[in-house]
Amino acid sequence: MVGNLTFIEILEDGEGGVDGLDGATSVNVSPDGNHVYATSNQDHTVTMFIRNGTTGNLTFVEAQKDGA
Amino acid sequence: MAAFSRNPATGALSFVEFKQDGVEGVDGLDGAIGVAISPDVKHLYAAGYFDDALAAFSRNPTTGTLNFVELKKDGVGGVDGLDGGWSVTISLGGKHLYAASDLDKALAVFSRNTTTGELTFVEMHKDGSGLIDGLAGAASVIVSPNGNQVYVAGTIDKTVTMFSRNSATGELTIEQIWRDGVGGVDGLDGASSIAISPDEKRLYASARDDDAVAVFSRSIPSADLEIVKTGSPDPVTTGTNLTYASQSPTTAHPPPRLTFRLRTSSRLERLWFLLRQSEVRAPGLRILRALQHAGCCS
Repeated sequence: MVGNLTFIEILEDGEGGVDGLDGATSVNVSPDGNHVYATSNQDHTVTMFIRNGTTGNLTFVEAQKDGA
Repeated sequence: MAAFSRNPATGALSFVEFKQDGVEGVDGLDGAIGVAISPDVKHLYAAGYFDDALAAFSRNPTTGTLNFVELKKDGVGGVDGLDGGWSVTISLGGKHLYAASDLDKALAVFSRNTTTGELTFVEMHKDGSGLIDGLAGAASVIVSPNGNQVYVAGTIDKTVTMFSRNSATGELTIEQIWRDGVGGVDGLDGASSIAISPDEKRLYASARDDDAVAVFSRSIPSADLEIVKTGSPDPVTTGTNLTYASQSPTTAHPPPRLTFRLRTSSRLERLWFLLRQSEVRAPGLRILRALQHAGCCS
C-alpha cells in the first residue's frame, strides 16, 4: 500500500559513535534532503546526520551541545 | 509566541515581537508547544497544551508580525480532541489542519478558510475508539508531501500510525500502525517526532526513550518520472522516461519555471511548467496530471 513503512535502521545514542540523542525530542530533514537534524532534551543537543540521497541512511556528523 | 526576522544569508535571527496569552485579546497560548505556518505564509496556528486549544493568527508575510484571529477550544462549539494539544500541521494545499493531542490521545481535523485563516472542526479520531490505536501520547503529526497520508507519532504507544487522507474533505481513515518491538521495528520507544524526506521515500522518527532516530523506507506511487534537482545530489526518481532538467528561479517565490525532458520512443521533448515549490517536493501524480493537462502524455 502507498505510504507503508519498512524499518531500515536505528541510530542510537552511544552506539557506533552516535551522540546527542539522549531523550530525542524532535527530528527534521533539510529542504535539500541532504541532512537530518535531531534535538535532545537530556543531552541538550542538536545532532546532525548526513543523509544518503539514494538509500536514505544516516551517518552521524556531530552533536552541538548547550554550553560546550 | 515570539517572532524573529531571519537573515537569509547568515541565518542570524533578530527579535521582532511576541504575543502572550491573556494579553491584548490573545488566547489559547497557555503551554504553547506546537506551531505551524500555512503554505501561503499568511496564517499561523499554535497548539496550547494547557489551554486545550488552537490559536489562529493572521501573519504579515513581509514583517512576520501576528494578529490574533480566533480560538478553537476543546469542548466548545463542538470542537473535540484538543485536550493537551501538542502538535499541529497543515496540508500543503492549505485546506486542512491536523492537531495531535496528548491527553485526549486524539487527532483532530479542521478545514481551513484560506482567506481568513478561520478553522472549522471536521472530525476527531480518538485512541481506543473503533479501530483507532497508536494515539496514546500523540506528540507529532505530519501530512505526506503528496497529501494522501497523515502520520502520527505516539509517545506512550511507541508507535507511528498512518491514516489515509481524503484530500477534498480532509477526513482520515486509519490504515496501519508500526509499533516498537513488533515485526522487527525498533527505535519508536517514546516516539516524539516524525519527518519525511523531500523525495518522500524515507520517514524519520525520533524517540526520547530509545534515545534514537529510526529510519523507515516509505512506499510511494510508481510513476513515469525522474526528477533531479539542479545543484542537489538528492535525485527524486520515480521513473525513466521523464527527466527534470532545470529550474529558474531557484527560490520558492515566485514559483519556479521547471524544465522537463520527456524521452519518448523516438525523440526527446522539452516541456515547460510552472509549478509551486511544494509540488516539486511532491512529484509523481501531480506532475503527471499537469502533463496530461498539457496534452503531451497520453
